[in-house]
Amino acid sequence: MQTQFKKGVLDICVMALIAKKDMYGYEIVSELLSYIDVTESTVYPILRRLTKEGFFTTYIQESSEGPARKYYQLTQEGIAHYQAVATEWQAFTVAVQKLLQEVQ
Amino acid sequence: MNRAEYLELLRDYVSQRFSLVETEDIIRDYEEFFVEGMANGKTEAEVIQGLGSPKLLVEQLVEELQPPKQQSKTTDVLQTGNRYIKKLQKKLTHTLQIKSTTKQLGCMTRILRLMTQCIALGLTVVAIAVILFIIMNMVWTGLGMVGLFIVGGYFLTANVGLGMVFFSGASICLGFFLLGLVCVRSLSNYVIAYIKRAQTWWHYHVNQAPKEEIDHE
Repeated sequence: MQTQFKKGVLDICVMALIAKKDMYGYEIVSELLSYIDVTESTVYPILRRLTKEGFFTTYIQESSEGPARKYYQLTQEGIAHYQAVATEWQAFTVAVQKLLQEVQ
Repeated sequence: MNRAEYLELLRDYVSQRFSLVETEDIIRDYEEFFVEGMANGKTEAEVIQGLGSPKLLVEQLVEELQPPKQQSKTTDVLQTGNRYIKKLQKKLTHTLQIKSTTKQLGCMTRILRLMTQCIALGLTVVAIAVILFIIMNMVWTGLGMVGLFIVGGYFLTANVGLGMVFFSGASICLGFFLLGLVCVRSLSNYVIAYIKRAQTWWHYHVNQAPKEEIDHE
């Protein structure tokens, strides 16, 4: 897949994962890898940007049996943004699907 | 290249584009990534391979975040100083690299790094002392005035106070105040960055859980 194309979509995927439950970096990367072929190094910058834009908050949780983990959580703003973008994306893919079918 | 070397290199590159505090935060994230990766049965080399070169990683970070063309340098006196120290450090290690064997080098670089860090820390302490001195002076002067007021009443205090403030005090105080402000600003960044670094070190080097062993079985 084209990298430029994939980049925009990755935002939505990351938000979709975190909308389900709070997740830590490694978890997000490996979960994402099970769906899409991404490199590890692309995910962290995205997480950082979305946090900076106010869509995520982070908290560090120390656990007794694992290392300390930085968890990402959607903010109210993030939830609203995610819903808007996801609907937009769904409408877009339906339109593209339709176009492809009709052209064939 | 192992994990420590990789992260050190990454810190070098990141610190050129991001503030001290943000740099430590970014390094923290990748420290965590290493620890998690290894807890999941990967080797250091495999994790590094997944992440790619530190230079490329920083480029990706910059591309995503696009920081406003570096921060205002005029105020970050200490940070600029730190950069100079780093440059010097690099030069020194480079000269050593030519002279000594690889095994000695590791040790020497470590000592050098520690030395330069000690110098930086020393400078920080001096800066703190200067600020404390200024603050104490202000307190002293203030207390002196109060004392004068109690003993001499309004008239004398106003006379002496005005003389002090207008003819000598004001300009010096203002100068020191501005200097203090600058120092405090860059110092606070410094202190926060060091605290973060210590936290990261504690979380991922000292306090590492025995989880790895369980996973390897």
